[in-house]
Amino acid sequence: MQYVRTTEREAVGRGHSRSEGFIDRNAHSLFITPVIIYMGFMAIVPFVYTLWMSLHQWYFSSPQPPLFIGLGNYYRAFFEDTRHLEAMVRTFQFTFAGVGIELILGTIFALTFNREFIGKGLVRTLFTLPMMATPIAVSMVFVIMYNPSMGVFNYFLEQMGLPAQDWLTNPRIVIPSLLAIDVWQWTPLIMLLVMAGLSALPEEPYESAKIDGANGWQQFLYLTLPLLRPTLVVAALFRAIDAFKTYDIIYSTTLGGPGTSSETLNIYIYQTGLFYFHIGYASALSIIFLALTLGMAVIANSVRRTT
Amino acid sequence: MGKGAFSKVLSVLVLLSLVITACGATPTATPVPPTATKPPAPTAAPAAPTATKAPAAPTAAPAAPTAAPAATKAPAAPTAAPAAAFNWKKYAGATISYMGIKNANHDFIISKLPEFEALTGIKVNGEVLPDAAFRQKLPVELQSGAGTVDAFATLPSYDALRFANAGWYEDLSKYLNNKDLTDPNLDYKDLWEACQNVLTVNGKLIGLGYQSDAQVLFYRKDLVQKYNVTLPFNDLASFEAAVKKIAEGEKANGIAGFVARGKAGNVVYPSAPYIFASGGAWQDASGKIQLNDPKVIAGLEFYGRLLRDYGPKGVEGFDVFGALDTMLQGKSAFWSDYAGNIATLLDPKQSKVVDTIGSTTLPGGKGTAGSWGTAIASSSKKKEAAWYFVQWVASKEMEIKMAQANLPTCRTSAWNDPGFLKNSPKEWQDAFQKSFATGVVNGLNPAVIPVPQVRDIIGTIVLAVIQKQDVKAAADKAQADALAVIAAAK
Repeated sequence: MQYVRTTEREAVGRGHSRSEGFIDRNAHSLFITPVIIYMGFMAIVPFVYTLWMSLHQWYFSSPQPPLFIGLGNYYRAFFEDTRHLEAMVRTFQFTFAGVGIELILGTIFALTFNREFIGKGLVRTLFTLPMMATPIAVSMVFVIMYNPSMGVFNYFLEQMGLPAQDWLTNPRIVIPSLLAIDVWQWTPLIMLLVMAGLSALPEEPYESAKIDGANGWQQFLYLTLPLLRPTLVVAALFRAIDAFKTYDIIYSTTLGGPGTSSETLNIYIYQTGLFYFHIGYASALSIIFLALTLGMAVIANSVRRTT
Repeated sequence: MGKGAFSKVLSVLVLLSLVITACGATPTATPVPPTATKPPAPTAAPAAPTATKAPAAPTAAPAAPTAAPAATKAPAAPTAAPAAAFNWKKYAGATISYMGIKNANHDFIISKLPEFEALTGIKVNGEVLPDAAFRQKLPVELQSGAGTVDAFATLPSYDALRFANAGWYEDLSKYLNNKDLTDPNLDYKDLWEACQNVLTVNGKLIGLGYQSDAQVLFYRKDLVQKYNVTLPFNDLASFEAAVKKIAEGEKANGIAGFVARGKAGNVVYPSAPYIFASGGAWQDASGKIQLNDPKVIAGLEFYGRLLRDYGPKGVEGFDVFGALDTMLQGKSAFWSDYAGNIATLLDPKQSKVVDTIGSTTLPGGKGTAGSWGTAIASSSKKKEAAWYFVQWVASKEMEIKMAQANLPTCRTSAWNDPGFLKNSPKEWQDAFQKSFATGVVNGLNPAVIPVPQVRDIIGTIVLAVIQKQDVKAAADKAQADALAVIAAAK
């Protein structure tokens, strides 16, 4: 109402025409339209094209046009392609393990930085730095550190008398090694989100708890955690969606190797589409991947609503 | 500020950001400018020492200020003096894009681009990418048909069927036979017959060769002497015995017996000679792939076993650079790979084994023979200017310079060049010549269309050997997968 009054006043003041009034009244829609057109071309058109391509079979360098096969690619993805299903399992394992560890560590760090101690500002900045680094640069440094014969990690292991490990070339240890990189880089994100949540916590429950004789651990378990739950869920959701899509770390270290032991869905889609050139099948895999990510977001959202 | 004013400011900001992003976006791919690469040490360095005889063969004089047909002759040119009437500067001012794969030969080409520019006035945006990136980016550029790549390096054993099937190659015979566009000194017949044949696909000439590709066995002379090993190895068993002896003896020094590429599809190229030495072949007489043929399995199993038992830690993750690094550091007694790596192994700036590296033919005496050529994209919009580049790369002058830099070339004149003969280790020349002559032509990869995927499938067999799993089952599965992939890639 206030807005209408303003425009009327302006209209009265200026010796207006009808079109001027129209522009004034609908300025917000008019200004948004270019953005919507832009988003439409940049996001919606490629998505629809991918969806359309996922119904076809097409080998990229083939001179023949794409062949329509309906839901054939989807059938193959779920019922015939074991490599795809294994990649899916691995992606979920990687995501849940990664987010779980990051949540725990991030919360611990956040709680630590919630208190006052000397040098807190500096240490907190240092702890936030990993998040700022370029993922590819981080991966390259870790590759050097993980090198079985010349790397720093094996050097320390040998100093401690433990056997040297293969790290990124051992199919059993490769996922935990990659998780280490992921945790190192993204725990600060969780830490920051939880710190924000902590700073918003009210003081009164803690005072009452102290009066009632609760010790630190009880305060944490029965006060902090429940109060923090919405923050933790949001942080977990943020991180899970990104961890699910992890690509840069894996591409620049192992490219899914050795064999396929570190191949997650994103890497598999890349290999299928851009290295093996099965564009139709890769499009179908991308749509499935999108559906999975959206599904995770929806579930997490409903969990958030009920807490 | 009121609510209305705020939303107006916000919308203006959104519009502004839209405009800025639209202006900032550059539609064309911008390849790395050629002069950015400092001439890589291994290739540029060796040309200097042979100052005794003729100076490094001069190109058709770039000093000519105008497009004068009679080029000024440089003294004591070892090659035929450039004849009159070929106008190198016909396309001066044009700009072409070139994409190559990262190896010593291509680094050399990139380092010489300023000479090309001086000669022809054509600017080249050259981009050299490591294996995986090159193999992924080039087809995408060619498929787009936008003409973003004019000339590119091609390895027929890897690319030919697929690219020819897709129609990405320009037929070069019409340029070769066109007297107006071809330097009379090109001397096509001087190119090795194998290089000519390999680059002729379905009757079309798809590229001019400049790099001949054969594999040799690099070894450390001091270790071979120390353990009294006789070379060359006529069969695989004696090779394995020698590797075992050295590996066990040098374990305390952290030196591995044998190193080679171990990562996924990279194993295909270096393991091929071992398959051939075991009597196998990638495909049977009818052309069908046979990955579970017992002889093929034997060869792959031999290769994988050597890597597993006598290779350095982490060898399953080694591409060519991983293996090269190991050898440069002197951490392995033997390395089986592309012969052109000698240039890096003899470079004092990178190699610790300059004085102790030797080359010999591969165990079992079988190898692979291939050739890289420069091709022109059929979607290129500057084919004539690209043709000038193609000829220049394959020209006598460039080939001789390349040979003097210890790189394998495709020309008889280059192999006979006195500078090359003096500079490059005789042992290496012999090993290369023998290996190339007895090598299976285009045996570097199975001759199929979906080469990248089939290579990865073959990699799974070697991985099964390294991880001590059921090799026969892995080979059977690989065979089934490969057949499915080949069928789907029509």
